[in-house]
Amino acid sequence: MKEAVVDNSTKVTIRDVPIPKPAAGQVLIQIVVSGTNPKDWKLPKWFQKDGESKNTGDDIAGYVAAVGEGVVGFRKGDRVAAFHEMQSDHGSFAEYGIAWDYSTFHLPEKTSFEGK
Amino acid sequence: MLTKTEGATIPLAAMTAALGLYQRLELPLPFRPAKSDIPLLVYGGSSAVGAFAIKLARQSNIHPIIAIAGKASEFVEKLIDRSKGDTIVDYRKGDEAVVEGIKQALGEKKLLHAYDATAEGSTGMNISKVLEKNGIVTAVLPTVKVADGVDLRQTMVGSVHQPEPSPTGGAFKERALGDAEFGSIFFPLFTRGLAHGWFTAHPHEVVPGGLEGVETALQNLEAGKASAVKYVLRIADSKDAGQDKI
Repeated sequence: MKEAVVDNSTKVTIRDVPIPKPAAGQVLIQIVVSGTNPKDWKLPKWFQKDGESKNTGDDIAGYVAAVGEGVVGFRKGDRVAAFHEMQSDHGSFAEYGIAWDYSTFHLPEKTSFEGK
Repeated sequence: MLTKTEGATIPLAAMTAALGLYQRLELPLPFRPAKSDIPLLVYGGSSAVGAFAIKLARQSNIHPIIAIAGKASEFVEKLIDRSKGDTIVDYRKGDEAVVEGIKQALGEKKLLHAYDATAEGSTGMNISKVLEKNGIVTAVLPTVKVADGVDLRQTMVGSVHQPEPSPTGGAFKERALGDAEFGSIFFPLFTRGLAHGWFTAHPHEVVPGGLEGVETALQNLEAGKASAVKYVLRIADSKDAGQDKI
């Protein structure tokens, strides 16, 4: 799959990497839309060494592609958004990303519904 | 239908807003709202974090909200509730005018809570001038500067993934219950808020090119071009996307 990585001059490179596998407690998400945040350029600029590049995106929206061991509340195909663990691998600038189940949440089909 | 594009504007920024309001400033939760006035200053009211903070604060019945904003004041106007005393102070008139504007908005009321979603330049010092001695300020960047003696509590949203060690070494020896647990209840609460319509996404702008657009998006963020908007990327727009399947 394609993944975008950011260096300490905010230069971005696209590279081919294997689709990651979710560990226990994690959700693999096929990313439809990635958000961006100011920290996505700040952290590389402030902390990364020359030549070091990271997928710094953390805001994920897409479909659950697989779940790791022990994950409850999500199954393949669910529409979700997720906060990826900052500074860890497999962020949102890619075709697939990894998030912890407790920082993943369902996106409702409708913005309002009858009921409680 | 809530689109995935809208969904992508929410996770980091909305959790930052929630953590700051409830875990750092210790304000009443949306499901146990305030019963009397709690003035709240929100610096950077049109930023994603600031706007989500205002939305959540309103659910917590926290008023009056004094939002600091500039050219995106029109957007912030739609978030606040003037009938509850909320107001906007324009930062573009300079530090003195901001401090004076906040004091005027407060009147006789005491400011004990401030959310600094900008945390750059003079924001922390301006807040220091209007905050009571026993007040609390939370800021989203460690670079913020406040006056000596001000109770500054950093909101670093990564804390939901970095559980703190247990202070007691008690029954749950490995770690304390804290921001991770807060995250685990608040992310699903966003789902419920979105479904019921009391919580909404931040405005967005799709940057073309998918992954090839990441560099443009980050450079525009760095240049300070984003105003009341979150840049998002549609991954399917990327060159050669969709070749690998699981």
